[in-house]
Amino acid sequence: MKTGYLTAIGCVAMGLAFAVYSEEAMVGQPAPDFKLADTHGNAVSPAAFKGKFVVLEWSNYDCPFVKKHYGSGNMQRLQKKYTEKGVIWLTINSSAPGKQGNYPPEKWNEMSKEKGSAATAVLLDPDGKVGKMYGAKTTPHMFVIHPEGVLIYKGAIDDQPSFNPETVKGAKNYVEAALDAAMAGKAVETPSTQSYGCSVKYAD
Amino acid sequence: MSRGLVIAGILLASLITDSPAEDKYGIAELVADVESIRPGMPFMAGVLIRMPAHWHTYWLNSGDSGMPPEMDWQLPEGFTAGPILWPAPKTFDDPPVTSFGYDHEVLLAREIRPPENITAGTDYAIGVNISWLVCREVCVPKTSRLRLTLPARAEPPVKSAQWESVFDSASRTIPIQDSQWRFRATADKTALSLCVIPPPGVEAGNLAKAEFFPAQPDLVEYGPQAWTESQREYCLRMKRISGDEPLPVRLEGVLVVPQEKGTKALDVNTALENEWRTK
Repeated sequence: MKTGYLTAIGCVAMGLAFAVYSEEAMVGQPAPDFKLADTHGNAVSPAAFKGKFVVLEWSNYDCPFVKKHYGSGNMQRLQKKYTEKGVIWLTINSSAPGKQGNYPPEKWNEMSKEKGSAATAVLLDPDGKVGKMYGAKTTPHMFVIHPEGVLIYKGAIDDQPSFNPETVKGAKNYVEAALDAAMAGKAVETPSTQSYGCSVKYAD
Repeated sequence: MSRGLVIAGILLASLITDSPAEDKYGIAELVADVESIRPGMPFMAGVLIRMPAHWHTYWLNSGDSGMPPEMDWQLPEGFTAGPILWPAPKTFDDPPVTSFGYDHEVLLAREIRPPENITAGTDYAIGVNISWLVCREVCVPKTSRLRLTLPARAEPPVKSAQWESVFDSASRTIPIQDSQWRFRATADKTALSLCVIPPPGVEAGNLAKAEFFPAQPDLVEYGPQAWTESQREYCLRMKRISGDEPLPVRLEGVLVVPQEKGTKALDVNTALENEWRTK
């Protein structure tokens, strides 16, 4: 009797946990929609790009792991390669005010230009809501959304969890693999990996 | 011309060489537990990383963020080295990010065995190129080229007055294999479970507060751990990152159990049964 009562409570608690959990981005599920301002003041939503592949790249230019990919030109190469194929590439920064990597929009534009970023837009998420919705833990942390709106990749940019620039060469790039497979109408071989990098600098 | 190249090379080398000088993010030093070595007699050498208060570096599995120290060891010809003895890590929780590592200081030691044919009276040098990350809220990458020269002598090695105690205390933090503790691990499509039967005398309350650190990255999600008990078997269920990835045949990691005084760190290396595949 007592056990039954506890189980019932447990089920309710579990139900709540799942209800909360389902808001987080899960591979194979529809990617949660959001609206964020880009560094030019435009409101951007992934749902507006239905019919196109969308890449979300969590970033913080001051993080050594992000520096590896921008310093070596690897990130810009990917951005260029896929935006030229019609992919929407959204760089997102979730650094809270006062935390590393939080810059005003003008500074972001200046830095992105200097780095030669070929992202479609840079979105600012200073309250971290979108970052937490997607479960973004590190910079970089990469997500790929299929034209039909389903999340098809979540995880690391590649298989070299190091900040050493020499590790870019010869790395297996998971984002490239996911996009190439999905564009060819094939299943993504590695749809989920553990990301690596610096922690996202959310508010305390 | 060639001299110019050599000088350029030296300049470049000195640019990428962090001489082991302490800066505000700490220091890495290459140290040994002996002052001299003897043919065929093993000794311990290790990289001692020291960090300022509130900063940390990482374990061999760094968790959600960070990077384990990368080391490239160079040994004189004929010298052999055992595995790096990684001390048990601790958790650095910064929701939603959970990382594993060390604060204050950590010694990453290994046993080095000189060959029988080294010459007494000669100096032998060990080198380590190391890259490590020191993090607090932000991460600072550091690199250092470390070098340690030890003279070979015919007499038994003299223990290092400066470092022997550092090696001794570090050795007490290395996870141990203890056959009195029984482990089993199972996996299904969504989760991986580690079950532990402790030897008699271990208090249940301590097990409930145990922490498991998976050594293999990319297997499970990290975060708060909740143990369940059934007939003195304690189980921990960890959500898999991807149910589609092939599973390793063994689950490896470290179990840290609180004791009355301090903690006990156990080496876990047990067959991983795939319930999902066999059913």
